[in-house]
Amino acid sequence: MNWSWFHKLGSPPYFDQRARAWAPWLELIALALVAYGLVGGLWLAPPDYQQGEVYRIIYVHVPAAWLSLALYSAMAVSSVVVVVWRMKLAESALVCLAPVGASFTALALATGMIWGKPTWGAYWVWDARLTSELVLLFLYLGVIALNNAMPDARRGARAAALLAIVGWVNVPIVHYSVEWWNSLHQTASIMRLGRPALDASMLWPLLAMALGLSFFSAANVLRRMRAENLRRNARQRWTREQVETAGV
Amino acid sequence: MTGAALAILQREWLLTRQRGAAWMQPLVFFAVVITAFVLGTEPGAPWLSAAAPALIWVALLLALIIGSERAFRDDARSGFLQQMMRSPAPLPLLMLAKLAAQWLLVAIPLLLAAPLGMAALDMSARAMLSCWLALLLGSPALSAIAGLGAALTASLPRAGILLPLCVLPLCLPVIIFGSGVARAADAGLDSAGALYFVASISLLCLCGLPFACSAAAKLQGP
Repeated sequence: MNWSWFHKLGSPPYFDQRARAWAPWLELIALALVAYGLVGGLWLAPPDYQQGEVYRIIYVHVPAAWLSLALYSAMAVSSVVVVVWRMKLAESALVCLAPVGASFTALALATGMIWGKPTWGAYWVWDARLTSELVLLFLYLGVIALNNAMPDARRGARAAALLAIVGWVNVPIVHYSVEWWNSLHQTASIMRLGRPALDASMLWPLLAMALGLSFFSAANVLRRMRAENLRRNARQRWTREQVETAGV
Repeated sequence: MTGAALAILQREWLLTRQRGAAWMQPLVFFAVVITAFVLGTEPGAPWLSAAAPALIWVALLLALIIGSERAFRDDARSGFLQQMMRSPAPLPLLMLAKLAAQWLLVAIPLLLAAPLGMAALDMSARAMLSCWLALLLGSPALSAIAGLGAALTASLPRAGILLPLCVLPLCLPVIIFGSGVARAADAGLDSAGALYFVASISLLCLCGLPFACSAAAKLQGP
């Protein structure tokens, strides 16, 4: 297979072209998966024997929580690339992953609170999983704020990259918090040794939602990166041609 | 190499002496935060001593962050940061010396004042001792994290609210375990585990953050 497209992505005009071509496809896949996940999860899957209908919020909550960690890890990986190789595209990736990750973190917290009220009897408890997820949200917001504060985009991205790398220590703390501390939050039922503790009728829609929202994140980040790429190269000739011919 | 690090410590000491009473500002801030909290509660409330460890930690953390805001800004402006980068001594070592100077000149006065604040909050003697030990072992981590924030924001005219926004989330594990030490001691439990954990966070910060600080210093240009 020819992999030359991969290193060509480092070139801003080529990236713009690819991002424009790929984003709609990723969105189409995301739409199909999320549609299946929602129908399968909200109508076809049976109610839980203990929680009844309330459990259905997992079809949003669990993918959002996974993505909050996965996107932070992706952000930290691009941060390492920024610090070590100073790749411009990785700078855009880091800057554009942060708001998407922060949104999923906020969504995971909000859906968790909505589920917590009828199930635990409280919107919020200060236990390890919830607190460390909240800290994750604050870390995202710090990265966004630091990047925005710098007048120079490249310097801002590199400063934010260092902060994101140092904050990475929180990711394993969030993931293992339910095992290390005696938490009210249940332990993992899918990513564990052996078979998932979830019936197939519930599991498949959940996996489809997780995959669909991952594709949605990829498309969203790609579109944001394209905008960032165009903004950074606003004075280049190819940018002007792109805007004039394609209407962006 | 050690000579360069010692020279930085000496320089920080001289600069602090030149600035006159500026070293007292974090101390006054610490005192005012605690006073404000006590004034906001009903006098003699029994839960005040229960909340005291967390309050002492937060007041110390805020005073440390605000006290180290200028740690790298003045150096970036005067060109001293550029001199450090040109020095043959390894930059992370020099950054470690800077962080050590921050700890000695900002955190140590706060640590000396902390027992007064604890007494004002009606803490028991046993809780005071373990809380102070936790502060002693945890403050290097807080100081180093605040130093990283100061290094990251050194190129801005002023960091303002940005510095606590970046730094506070990273400090929260130290606060969680640090204030747990005094609570455990007050309840008559063994607090050694949490104390060791706080110390290990400090060691981890002292090993890793000088490298992050030197990467942040290089952001300010050659």
